[in-house]
Amino acid sequence: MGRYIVSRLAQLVIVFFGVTLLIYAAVWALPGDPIRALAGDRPLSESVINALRDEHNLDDPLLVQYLKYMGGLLSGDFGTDFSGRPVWDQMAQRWPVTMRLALTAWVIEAIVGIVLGLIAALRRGRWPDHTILLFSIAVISIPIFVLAYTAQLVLGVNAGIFPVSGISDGWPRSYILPALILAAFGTAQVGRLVRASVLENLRADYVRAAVAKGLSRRRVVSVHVLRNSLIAAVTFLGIELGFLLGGTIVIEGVFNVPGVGQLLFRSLQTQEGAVVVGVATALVLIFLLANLVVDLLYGVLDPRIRHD
Amino acid sequence: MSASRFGFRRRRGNRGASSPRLTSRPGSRVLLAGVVGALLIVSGCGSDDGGDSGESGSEGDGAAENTGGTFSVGTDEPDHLTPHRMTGAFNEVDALFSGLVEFGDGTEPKNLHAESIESDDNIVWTITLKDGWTWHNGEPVVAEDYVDAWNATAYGPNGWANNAQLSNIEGYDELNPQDGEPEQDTLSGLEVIDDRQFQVTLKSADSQFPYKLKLPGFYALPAVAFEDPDAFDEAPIGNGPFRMDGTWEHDVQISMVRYEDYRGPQPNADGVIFKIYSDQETAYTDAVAGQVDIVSVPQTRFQQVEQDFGDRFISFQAVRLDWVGFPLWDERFQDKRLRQAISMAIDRDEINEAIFAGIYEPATSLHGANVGGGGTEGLCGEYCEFNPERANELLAESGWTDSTLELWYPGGVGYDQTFEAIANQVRQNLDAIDEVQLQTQPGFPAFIEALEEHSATGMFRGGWGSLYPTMQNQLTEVWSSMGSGRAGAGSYENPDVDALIQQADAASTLDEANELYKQAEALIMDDFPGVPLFYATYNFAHSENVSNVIVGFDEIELTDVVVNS
Repeated sequence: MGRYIVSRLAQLVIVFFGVTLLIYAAVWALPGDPIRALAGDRPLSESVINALRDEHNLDDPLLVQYLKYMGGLLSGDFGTDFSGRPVWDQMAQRWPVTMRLALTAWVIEAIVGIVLGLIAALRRGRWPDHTILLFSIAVISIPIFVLAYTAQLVLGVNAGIFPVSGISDGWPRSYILPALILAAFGTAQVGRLVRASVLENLRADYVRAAVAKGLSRRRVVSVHVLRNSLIAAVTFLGIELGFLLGGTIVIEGVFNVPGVGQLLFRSLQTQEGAVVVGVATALVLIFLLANLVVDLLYGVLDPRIRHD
Repeated sequence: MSASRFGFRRRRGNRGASSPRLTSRPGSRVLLAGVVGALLIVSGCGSDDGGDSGESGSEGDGAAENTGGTFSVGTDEPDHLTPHRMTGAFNEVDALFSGLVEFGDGTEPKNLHAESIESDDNIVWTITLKDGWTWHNGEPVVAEDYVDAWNATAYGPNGWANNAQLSNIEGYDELNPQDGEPEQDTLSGLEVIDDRQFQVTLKSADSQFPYKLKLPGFYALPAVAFEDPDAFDEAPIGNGPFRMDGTWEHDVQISMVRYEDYRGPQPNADGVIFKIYSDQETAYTDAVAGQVDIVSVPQTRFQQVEQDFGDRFISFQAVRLDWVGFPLWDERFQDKRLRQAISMAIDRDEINEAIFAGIYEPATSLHGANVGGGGTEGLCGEYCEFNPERANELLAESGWTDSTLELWYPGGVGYDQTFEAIANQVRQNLDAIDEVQLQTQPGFPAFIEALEEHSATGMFRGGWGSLYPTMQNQLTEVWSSMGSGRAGAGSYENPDVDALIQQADAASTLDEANELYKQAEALIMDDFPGVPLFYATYNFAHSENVSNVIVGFDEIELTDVVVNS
């Protein structure tokens, strides 16, 4: 088990260098000079352009730029954006916001998804099952920004139940609406997954044995069926956490939540290499760590799965 | 069904893409504009009382000068709050700082911190400051604060964005050498006479210099700003009507309260909060819900803004032109009849109605009426009128043989709809043209590079917003061979135009200067290097919480805004 974790972490290091180089090269390859475009139609003077290009090492070849960046990174310097703000400051300010949003959505997905899936399976073919199916299909098929704008208009502008945008009301008030929208798609997915595997497990031999043994239905469902049905959901939720963290761009835009999604989007448009690499690399690492945790969780849920 | 859904998704995606930072970086404040000064005139009487009466406490019962309350303004995340470094935060900077002059909604500079700005020859200018003005930390604002700030801005290695605005001051070139580090760090053309007076020597005569003093590069900075410019940028100490309340909360808000010792017109309100939005459409929605008081209206909301805000929508014609430019370095585009044909194949009214809800004004020259000297409307003559028949004749005469044209523009930053429409009209109305290929560039940097390196192979999107309301700015920067933005004109040049502009710059009266600028523009329109499209506008909407919202060349007149009780 210990060796397994160490080797997985070692892989992370390799991936880290590979990914940073790849992203750096990708930003570098974008056409046009980001400094020249800083002020749009109204060009900056040559001397200012030179000063800024120099400050951000933009005149060096790609590899030199990358090595300078990595050198800074290893000594804890994440670089600055073109207006001179340290990237680390921006990430330190925005990551907690995105984390809060994504985790809120994730918890909603996990709890609501599993409960709905369970209900649908146990009431198979009756109205609760049909209702949940209908809900899932609706949510999965409507694009997320339509949901977002609609919810914002109906619940925010018209009804005034939630703030329309921003995070000035703090957690949870400001986060509930965006988190609900963010979680909608995943909740439906989790529900479908749990429903399918609960149905499958309900017909399994060990369930029949447990019932024959005289265990209460409640105990059969909650201990035997549910636990065995969670593997698929846990896999999904593990990967989903990565998606949620990286997938908040639309939601952060619509609800004006100052998280990393906004930052990444904006930085890509303005070709702020240092910011893009910093944020994207963190996203990749989180994604990989979440995967590792999922793999380890398998062993807990199903002792037959071992990591030797 | 799925196809239509996908189409919808794509459109929305583009809207997201027109989000603030990008549009704002390329000077979008100037970009987001619309028409009709009429609405303005209705609310055009601000309280311009002198500033001596601002001693009343923050209770706000000080009658007309101080109606109290705090209002909010939706904005993008600024790049900087120091005037000399910022490229998009005009409202924030004008809240914190007061320059030598201001415009309001007129086209003449009015002295703000300057008591007088005088010159006999348009070369040596003597600027006298009003007495008694202080920085927010209590120190007096002296002539040296202007000189130091201009020196710092003009010093190339500092990399301050508004450096180029000072380029006509004597000694600028020494501070911005082609290669290597400059040997000096002060402009030889600046001289402090005493605490309230300094002298500026220009490289060449400039009759418009008093107008230019509104440019953010010409503001003053307190001594403390130079100790640690980056720390200063987080909570600037200014000389304006509002002072910082705490520091800049990045991506959240910037909070300001009235500066009691301000010597200009005291603000009506006790405070202003700039709420930062990553997406101006969200800011707009928030304004509909009454969560933010004043927002700039994004182009995507033009069609609904009248319905949402009624007479609380304010549109002000800026000195901004949108045009279609041509790669004049390409011999295929040499014949001006080709360019005129394309101009006459564009139905500006239809595009204005369909996309801008009639808020812009179709251009008939390079300058609309709202500029010093009254503008040049109509100079383009029949060539800016929609006339497909004549357009086809001209195209035939021009000797253009290809059946396709190209149209280059930066994608995803708000131009897509307009330039798709233009491409369609040109294709439909010119019989010999079967196709107009859209050469959508991935963002602004790539687009600008294509123009500067002359790699664009077809007509392209052009736009310029002047930061001060005289014809000099656009004519010099875009249409002269001295211009920094001439890439947007396809590197057009005409020595006669240059000469006329220089004569205007040296003119002894403003009337004479304007007359010469008009002659220069007439020459340009005769050469027809670009197709004028629209005079654009600044567009703002406000909630019912505030009144007396006036928009002018300095954008929102923050000191005039009254918070309704």
